[in-house]
Amino acid sequence: MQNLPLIIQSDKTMLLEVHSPSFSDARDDIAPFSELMKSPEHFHTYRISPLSLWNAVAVGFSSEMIITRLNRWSKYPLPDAVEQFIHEFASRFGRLKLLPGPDEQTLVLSCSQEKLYQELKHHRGLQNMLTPAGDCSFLLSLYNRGTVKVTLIKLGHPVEDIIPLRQGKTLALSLRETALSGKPFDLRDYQEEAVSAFLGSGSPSPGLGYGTVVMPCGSGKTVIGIAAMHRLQQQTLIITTNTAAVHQWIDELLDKTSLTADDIGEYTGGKKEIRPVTVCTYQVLTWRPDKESDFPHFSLFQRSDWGLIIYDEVHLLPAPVFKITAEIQSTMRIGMTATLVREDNREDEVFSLIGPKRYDIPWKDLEQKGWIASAVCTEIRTPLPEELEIPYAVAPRGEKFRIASENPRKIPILKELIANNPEDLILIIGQYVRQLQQIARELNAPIITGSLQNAKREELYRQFREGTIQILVVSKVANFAIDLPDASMAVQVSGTFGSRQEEAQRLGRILRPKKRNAKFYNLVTRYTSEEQFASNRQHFLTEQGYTYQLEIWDD
Amino acid sequence: MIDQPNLLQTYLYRLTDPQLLYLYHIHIGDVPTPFHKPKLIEELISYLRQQETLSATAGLLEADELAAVTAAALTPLPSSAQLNQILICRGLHAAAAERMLLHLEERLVLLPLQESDGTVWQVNPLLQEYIGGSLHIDALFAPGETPDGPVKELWFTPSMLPGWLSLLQHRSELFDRKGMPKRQREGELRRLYPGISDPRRFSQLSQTARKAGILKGSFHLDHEAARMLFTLDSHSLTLHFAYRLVREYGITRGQFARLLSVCRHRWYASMHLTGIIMTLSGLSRQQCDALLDCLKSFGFAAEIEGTVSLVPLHRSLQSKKAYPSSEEGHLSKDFGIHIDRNLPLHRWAHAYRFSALKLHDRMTILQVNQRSMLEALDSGMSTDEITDALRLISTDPPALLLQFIQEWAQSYETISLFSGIVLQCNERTERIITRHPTISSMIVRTIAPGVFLFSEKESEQLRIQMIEAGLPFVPAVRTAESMKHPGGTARGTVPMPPEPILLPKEVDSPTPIPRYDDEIIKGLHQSLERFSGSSEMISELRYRIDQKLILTEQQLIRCSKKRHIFEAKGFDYQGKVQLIRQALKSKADILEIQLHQDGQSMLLFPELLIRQGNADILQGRTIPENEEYRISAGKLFLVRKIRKPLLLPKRDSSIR
Repeated sequence: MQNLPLIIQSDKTMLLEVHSPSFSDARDDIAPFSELMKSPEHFHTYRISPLSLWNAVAVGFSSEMIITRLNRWSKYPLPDAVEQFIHEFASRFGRLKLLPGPDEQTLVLSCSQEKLYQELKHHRGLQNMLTPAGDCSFLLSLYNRGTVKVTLIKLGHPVEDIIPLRQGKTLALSLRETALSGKPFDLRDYQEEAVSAFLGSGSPSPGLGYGTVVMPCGSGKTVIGIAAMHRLQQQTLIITTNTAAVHQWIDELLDKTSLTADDIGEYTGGKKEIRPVTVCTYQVLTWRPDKESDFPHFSLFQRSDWGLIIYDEVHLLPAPVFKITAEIQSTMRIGMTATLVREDNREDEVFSLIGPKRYDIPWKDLEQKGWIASAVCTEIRTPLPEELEIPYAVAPRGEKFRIASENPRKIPILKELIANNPEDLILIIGQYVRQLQQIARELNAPIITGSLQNAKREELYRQFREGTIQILVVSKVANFAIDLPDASMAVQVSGTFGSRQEEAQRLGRILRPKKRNAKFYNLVTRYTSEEQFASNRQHFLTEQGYTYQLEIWDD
Repeated sequence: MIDQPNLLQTYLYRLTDPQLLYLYHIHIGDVPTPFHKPKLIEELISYLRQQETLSATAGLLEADELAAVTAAALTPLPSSAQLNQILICRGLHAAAAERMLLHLEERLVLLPLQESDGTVWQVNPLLQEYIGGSLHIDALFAPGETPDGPVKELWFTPSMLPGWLSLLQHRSELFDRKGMPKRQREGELRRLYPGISDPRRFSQLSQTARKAGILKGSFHLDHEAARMLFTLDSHSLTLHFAYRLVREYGITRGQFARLLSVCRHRWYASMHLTGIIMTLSGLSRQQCDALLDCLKSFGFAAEIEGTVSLVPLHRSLQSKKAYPSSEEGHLSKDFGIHIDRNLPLHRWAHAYRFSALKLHDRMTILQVNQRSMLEALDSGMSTDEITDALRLISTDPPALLLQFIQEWAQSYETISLFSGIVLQCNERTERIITRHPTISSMIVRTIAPGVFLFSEKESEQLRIQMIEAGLPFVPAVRTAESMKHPGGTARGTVPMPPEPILLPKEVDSPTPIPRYDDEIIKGLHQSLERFSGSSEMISELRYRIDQKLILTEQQLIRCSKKRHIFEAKGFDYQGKVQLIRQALKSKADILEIQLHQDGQSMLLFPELLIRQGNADILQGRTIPENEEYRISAGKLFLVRKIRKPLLLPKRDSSIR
């Protein structure tokens, strides 16, 4: 019997053997109806979930096709429970359809089963939003479109939303073959695939035009957003994490497209420009004078001009933005992230409101192809100095972590690492400003924290990119969306407890492809809670196949 | 081979004369008179041995009769009830089965033998030798048709056990004190074993670990037993576990092997398979039904539409051929251990000691973490053993994992907690302790100069040895608790007076027990003199009064109304013989005899009363010597019948 590469477990997870000669074929076969959960070196773990099945059914898969594909690659007989699950959940998609209603403000929810119709009719959470309209159908207001979809999906009933997505105002946009910077510009194959996964091969058909793309830091997510804009040729709202990232988006658009500065607006704390392409921050959108007030900048969402909304770093989407997104379900939207890991476990809302994961590629795949830098991760452990042992031992739990994080013995190690790597552009990243300030003083290096004005931040980023400064000390403001292509070494002196996505994002800062391997050092205090938190933080990356070398620096 | 003529001869000799004469009469003809028993037996055996007799006897056996003969041949010494049950499993009524056995006995096809615990049956050995080849289990129960439809895979496979042991080792919160899964943690167990839908299986897994000798006492894992067990391959382990299950019902290893061999690939009507198990094991029907249920509950047996089979067990033994065997497990950089179910158990099973189960299904996923390592080190595993175990799973374990293991082990070794007696002493005492051969051999560990650890169990011996060694001032052991709270009360608690002992209101001085002195005995004797019964009865009552068996006058009156004679003496020869006969008949009495008026008495188990000429000879066995003793009744001065003590063994006795 052939040694097939797929092991399907009764809990609906699937382990795909990476070293099998048929790995790629099997992966391509199962990817449309499963989600990649983790991808360490020997087995990639996929999961079949209701959402993944509904995604597949939405693009034409049947349960029989899915089962045939599984049987093709499965080493052992398909567990009965999995087969039943696939039949049961795949058949749910299409039972509820969202159709255009009698007027623009009203939609029809059509139900193919009387039993299901009765269930929804009597569901308390839906009674206020759904009005029975006979023939197993309900009327609902356009305003409740997203909320109804979220509620129904939580009940296990996906809605096939076949109302055509709204077209925004046209925007003529072409991609440059040679970027303004002088470098040749072309979409990479995986970027093309990602755009096609999101929009389809032609114009977006019902069920497409919204979703999430998950790709490693440094792999060019911005380019995917630009390519999507190019395919749609419609006015676009881009939301990102901070002002520096806004400026980077604007620079990229100018560099790689035919858009001019007049076409692009900056909507931040400092400027409020609304143009055919507008780039804003989550922060400005969710600003309000006080807790009782409305969000004044939400009106930006509701403008009918937008044919596309791009949610950069979608894993950071704040709760109010979820709410407003529920109201703009007619607009095409794409979420982009390197780590679809939300520490608040709201991944399902990202799925329901932004859209399902349309494209995902393991970090190590891109590393092997040379699209992101190879990285060597090292955890260096050093004990607390004797005088801090007792303060640590008697401190409350929360404070313990801080004492461990601010361990002064990290500074000499940091100095030695810098001395040993004179060729590298080095980012020193930390959680605690006091610690970072001390480091900056001792190293005589510039520091960027939240309190530094945007202009000064960008100046320091510029100098760092140009290599005029070798070392930059940054707080968590630099965790995301900051493009520092030549940074080749990062030293993490402290972090946000066990945040997996933060660790991945920080590594991401140095993953732009470059001649030398990237080096990521994590300084951890030995025999303290920081060890355990560090281990948790590393989960996402180890699942992606990264490995940490461990060094003990006792002296 | 059975010594057939001897067995047959023994059987015939044991028959009573009328029984033997009857058999002789129906098989050979008129009995010559006067008859000579050995000659009759010889003639009968000679007749039964004839080829013609054997072929006719065998040829005339009906199918049900052949089944009975087969059952008797294959079952280890079956009882009447067992043979009846086996025939009932073929669909016979109980009465018909009974009649058939009697008929087969009459035809000397089956021989009933008297054993200590009842009648057992044996096939006439001459006949058994003649038709031995036909006495196959198929003659007893023909296998049925194999039902259509697939037989599901066994839910239990040995590869489930390491994961379960991992949970017992590292997730003790999921189990009760006996190692049985807690009901309220079922959800978690289902997530860990998603292939198991019936929660009873979880208890069965713990039971299996217990039956396998790994889970012991109140939640103790015997790692050595596990180590030995996992040296077996999966095939042998499956058989081992199945055997462990059936062993509890009294099935021997050989019987189990035969059962598997007989039932290979076959399906039987449920009752027939019960009959087969009964035949092969000699167990009762109820036991066999329970055993079959047990095999079914583990999936080793399957039932489809009223037919039962051990096919699933056989299939599981062959299943490894269906899939290519995995060469090795995979250790990931996230410290996960992925084990394909075809990886031989001995390669990975020991990982349960140092890794925690994440999932068991087609693939078992374990993970090494700080807690699992701590448990492993606590259970006495060394880092070398752990590393070796990892290398057995995968030839190339991630360096980071090995590094972390070393790191964790180093941290582990920085602290030691001891429980025992800690002895702290000055230099002189230290010299004595460390040089004294007995005391030094009791030192469990030298914790620091002048600080030694001793076993708590040996504290008294230590004290004695120290005193003998010239250290008379050995203080009492001070517990940590008493040193922490010198007042004897726990910190933070308010001292309370001892709880008062509640006494009864008044306690009188003890009342002396009135004694039944000689006057009472005398009074009873005087009352007896007023009775007008026979001299034997008076004598008996007198004896019982002297033995303090009769204590009140009311009792004396009641006893005097009974006419039982318990004693005969002097010239009452018939009375003595009568008492001996009564004792032999009742089998519940023993005899006290006395040869002379003033002689010592002795106790006997009466066995025989033999008439020889004019004399009646009593034969019995002495108590407690158990030696044979014969004496003429005429030589006895006194015979007394006594109720046999309950604890004495039962003896056969008869009168000739």
